[in-house]
Amino acid sequence: MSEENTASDKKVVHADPTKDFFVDMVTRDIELEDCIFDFLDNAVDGARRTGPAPDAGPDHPLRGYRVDISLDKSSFEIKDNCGGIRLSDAIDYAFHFGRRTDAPLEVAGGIGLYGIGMKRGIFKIGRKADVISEAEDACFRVYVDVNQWVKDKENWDFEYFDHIHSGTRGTTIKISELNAGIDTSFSDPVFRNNLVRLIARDYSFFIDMGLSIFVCGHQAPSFRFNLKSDENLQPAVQDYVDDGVNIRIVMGLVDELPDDIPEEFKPDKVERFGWFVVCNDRVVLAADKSEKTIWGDDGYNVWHPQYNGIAGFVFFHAADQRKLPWTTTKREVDAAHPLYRRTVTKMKTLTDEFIAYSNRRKADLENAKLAEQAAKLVDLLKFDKPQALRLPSLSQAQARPEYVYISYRRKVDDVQQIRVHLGRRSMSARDVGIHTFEYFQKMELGK
Amino acid sequence: MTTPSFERIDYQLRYNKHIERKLIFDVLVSAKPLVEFSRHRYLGFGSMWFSDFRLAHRILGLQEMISMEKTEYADRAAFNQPYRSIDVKPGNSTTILENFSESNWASPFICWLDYDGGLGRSVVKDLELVLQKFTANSVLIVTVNASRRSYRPIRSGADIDKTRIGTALGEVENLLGPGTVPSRFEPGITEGNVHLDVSEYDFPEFMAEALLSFMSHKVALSGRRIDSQEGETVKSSPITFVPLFNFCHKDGAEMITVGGAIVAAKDESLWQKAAALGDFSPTQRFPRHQRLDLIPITLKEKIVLDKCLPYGKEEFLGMAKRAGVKLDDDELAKYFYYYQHFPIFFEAPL
Repeated sequence: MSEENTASDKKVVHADPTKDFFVDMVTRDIELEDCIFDFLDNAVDGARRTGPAPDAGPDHPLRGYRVDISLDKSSFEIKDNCGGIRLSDAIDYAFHFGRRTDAPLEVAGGIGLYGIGMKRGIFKIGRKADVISEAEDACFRVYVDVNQWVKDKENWDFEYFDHIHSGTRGTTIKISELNAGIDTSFSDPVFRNNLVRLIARDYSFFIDMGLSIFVCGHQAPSFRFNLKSDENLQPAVQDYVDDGVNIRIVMGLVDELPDDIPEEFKPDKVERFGWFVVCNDRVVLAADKSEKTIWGDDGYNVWHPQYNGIAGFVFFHAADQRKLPWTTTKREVDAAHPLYRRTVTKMKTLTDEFIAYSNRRKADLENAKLAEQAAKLVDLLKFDKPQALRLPSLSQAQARPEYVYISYRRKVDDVQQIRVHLGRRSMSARDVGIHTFEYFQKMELGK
Repeated sequence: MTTPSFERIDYQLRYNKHIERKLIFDVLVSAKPLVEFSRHRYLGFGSMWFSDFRLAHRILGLQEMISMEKTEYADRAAFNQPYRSIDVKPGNSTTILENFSESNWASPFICWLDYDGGLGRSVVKDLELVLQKFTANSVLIVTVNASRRSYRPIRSGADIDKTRIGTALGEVENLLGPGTVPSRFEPGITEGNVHLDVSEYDFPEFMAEALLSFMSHKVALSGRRIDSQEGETVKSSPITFVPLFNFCHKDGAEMITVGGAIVAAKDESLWQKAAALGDFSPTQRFPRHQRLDLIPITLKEKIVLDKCLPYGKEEFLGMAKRAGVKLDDDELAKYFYYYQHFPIFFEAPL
């Protein structure tokens, strides 16, 4: 047998996609909350495409736009007045698997991108969907029966019907026959409360622009990102353009740095610290303390509780959202993206200055704390011009104090009694020890 | 250590607690056609009085009952147990529950964890354990102190004042976990970035709802499901927590009692209807928060008031006044709603 292959040797491995792959596999790579956010992203893009209402004002271009999400153990619905899905967009990507290559970008600077979000969301959540859209070019309705659709191996089309105009341009998506596990999450009040919290955080910049988002009747507030600033302490702001993408990096202190590391770190207590990555105003990574940003990346320091209080923000803005370094779930960055690699280098350089400060301040803790406490929290969006980092000037002369660890055992009931007396029932045993030590210092030594 | 509450008060002589206990057992009785209670066991803190144990046996017919009691008081509790079938287990509840064998968990429970004090780490631990272990058709009720001042950190400077953990709301959230604070109680942040707190009046309602959220969440997280045969098909239904009870009662300290049933999701509305005693509307917040802070009334007042019942509230108020009862409208209205459960205590010769 010759080592050269000839045309007659050629055989075929079929690579056709299967519907099951989209329904059962692709949906595993995304969290339920992020599926709901894909629907929200479509609403935001619709509102941006439609443009501000006449009375919106320059600071609140999304005022008057509203999204209502309702969910329970048997159904999910998202309804908006954000302009609807145009029929042309429905054909080009909303119901097409992947955006057609010749499809124009729906909206410059938008956050919808891949032609996967809405369908993936429907598949993830339930077996039946009813989509009604009223846009400038048409009003249509699409019924999706996932089980029936999967049965027909050849035909990938979804049928649509003309629908009566109601006069409000927007989209309503209702999903029923919820998948196992989704019904449980939707009936869990903690899931709903957390959803409000995540929306407040990840859509904070849109909410600040005037967009109203309601979950089961409760309006999501804005997360209010802040950094400390005054004459002794101000965040660094860098502004530049790279490969057609506007990038702004802001890093500063959102809280005083700790002089003592607590033994417990609950996620909600450190949710303001770390790096945030924001693409076209949508928060993609929040309070990241992992190698998804810089921590532990290529030998860089891992996050340490000593840094609690530091927050950095990277804003990427591009008219062509395909240039942004995010993945299809919009919950991760594409770490190998050259643009992102170049940004990471700048993030590390900036972070170095904060790490050095967090060590330096130990020599003059009192002044450092005073300066950090004195600085007022300022709205992050106010830092819109480049400025150099300013950190409190500290005395280098003081010797670093020496520390000693104290550990001892006491009866649980006795410790609990102190907790109850202090009204801090959730206090850790370690903090009870510190508190009682400090109380002795104050009462007996006058410190 | 503080004096145990049974050394301060006879549990059976508290008006509002008494009403609450009867309301809860009313709901359980109304669930009887739905649930076969014969396999159920009762679990709780019988103390020296065993009030809830007596009702569980008399009204629901439960026989096997377990009462957890601190070791130093267990012998006295055992002496006072009203029925042979009560097993008084000495020790703290967390240790007792952790040592339950799998066979202990196999049958459903009616469980009332009626704590003397406030929510704390050990209470949360107990609840987590039973919520993950109880089988379908179990009922869990919990009573804890809900006075806001019990959860407000003693102010020790600027550090604590401005943070969320410096509020009673933050303290409860810290115990129950993120996401348990109902959105409608989120107090927001003022301009100076200072976290606000829930008002003292609303605090029991906030805490009750947060605790119910916690209970629903823990059952949801356990991811358990039940298969049931429907015709020729087997349907899988998640096990969920159905909130049924949401009370605040005040016989001195402000206490909340919340609870619900651990059931297959398909049975949820049946339980809700049973709990609503015919007053269930899926559009209303359910279970409605009921505040029981009725004042004691005399036997003479009770006899006169009962004669003005049971028709409409306005009619009742008018009649009661004309009959010379000198109670405020608020108190009369409360009596109108709860008179069927309102106790009168007598000294009895033995």
